[in-house]
Amino acid sequence: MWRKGFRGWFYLSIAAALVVSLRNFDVYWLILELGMVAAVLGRYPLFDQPEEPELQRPLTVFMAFPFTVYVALSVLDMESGPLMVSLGTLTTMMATLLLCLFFILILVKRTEFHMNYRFILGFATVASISLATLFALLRTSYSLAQGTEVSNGELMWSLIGIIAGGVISGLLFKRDMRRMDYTGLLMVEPEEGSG
Amino acid sequence: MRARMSTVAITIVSEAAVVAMGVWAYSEGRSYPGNGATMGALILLLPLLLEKAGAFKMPLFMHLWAVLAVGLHTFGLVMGLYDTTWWWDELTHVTSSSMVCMIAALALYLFDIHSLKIKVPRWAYPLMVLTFAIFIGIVWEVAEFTGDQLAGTRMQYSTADTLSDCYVDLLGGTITSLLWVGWLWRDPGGELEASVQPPLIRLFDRVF
Repeated sequence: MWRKGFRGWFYLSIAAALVVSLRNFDVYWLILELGMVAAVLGRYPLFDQPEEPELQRPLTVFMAFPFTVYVALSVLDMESGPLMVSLGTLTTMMATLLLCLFFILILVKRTEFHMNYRFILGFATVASISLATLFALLRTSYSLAQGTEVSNGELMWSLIGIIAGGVISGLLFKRDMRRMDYTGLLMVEPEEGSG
Repeated sequence: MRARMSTVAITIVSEAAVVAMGVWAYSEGRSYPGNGATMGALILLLPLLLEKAGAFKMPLFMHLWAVLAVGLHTFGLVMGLYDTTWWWDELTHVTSSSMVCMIAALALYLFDIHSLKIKVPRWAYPLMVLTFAIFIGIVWEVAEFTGDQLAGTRMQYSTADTLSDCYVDLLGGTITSLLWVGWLWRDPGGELEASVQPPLIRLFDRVF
């Protein structure tokens, strides 16, 4: 049985994060949140049996926790300073990794595309870094087009943060998955007759 | 193992050209282009060494593409074209990134053929190649930034330059994706399938 407290935190963190990102016009986080909402509503892989207690762990660590940190950093206006920026980047990459895993698992489960769990996690890690990088590049291009000065150092440090955050998130997922015994989550067989 | 005549010939000619450019740069006291040429000469040896080791026979068009990428980069360094010709950096980025993406696509193709656990349909190649193109592009930019910070190499000029490099890397990935799904995926001469040799296949099996 999915515990009530967790369910409350799960939905509250999504709702609060949606409000914060809408208020801040944070397109990247909006995409993350809407992707998660689509996953919950669509009951796609990773979310298709949310009542299972073993799913609470990855959903807590890679979704509810990052969403809560994102809301807390914004509401408490703590988004400056190296420590807070690093924490923000890490939690953003953790949520991005979960979203990428979710998309890859949909492809693996519903098409003829197939990978073993090592490949799924490795590809999801690379995809999360690429997705976050693409948005960082687009955001910087937009700022330059608007006449806002962004130094090359600022851009490069944000990219370094994205790479580090992505790699740490991937390793965290792998370690957590093995320690908490939810490796089976990524072992998805293609559905019969798919493709 | 005996290497193909074409591999040996391409390696000798390309090594001669790159080493000559390196020697010229060193003779003028310019160590940075010289070091770039040395690195290029080492990279160009890899296809021959891998083939001699019986691990991998690089398809001919890929070998020529690698020579073009390394050759353009070295020529640009030695002639100072990165500083004088605005589009040189874009040209080398697009050839290099398309080359690296081609190797990634080939690796996926070989996994698809030789592994039961990994199946990559044709439509998935652009998705994976473009993801890889962005990833490898920023890894390269971070390496340049690190070089600039630690050794004062001045490889990155400005924010706009870094951005355009990353977008051009994406363009290189797009070119590879189009070539792959439109033509290479069919492997007309069977060269792609034959590129991987038994020791590498056994390594694939052990690791994956």
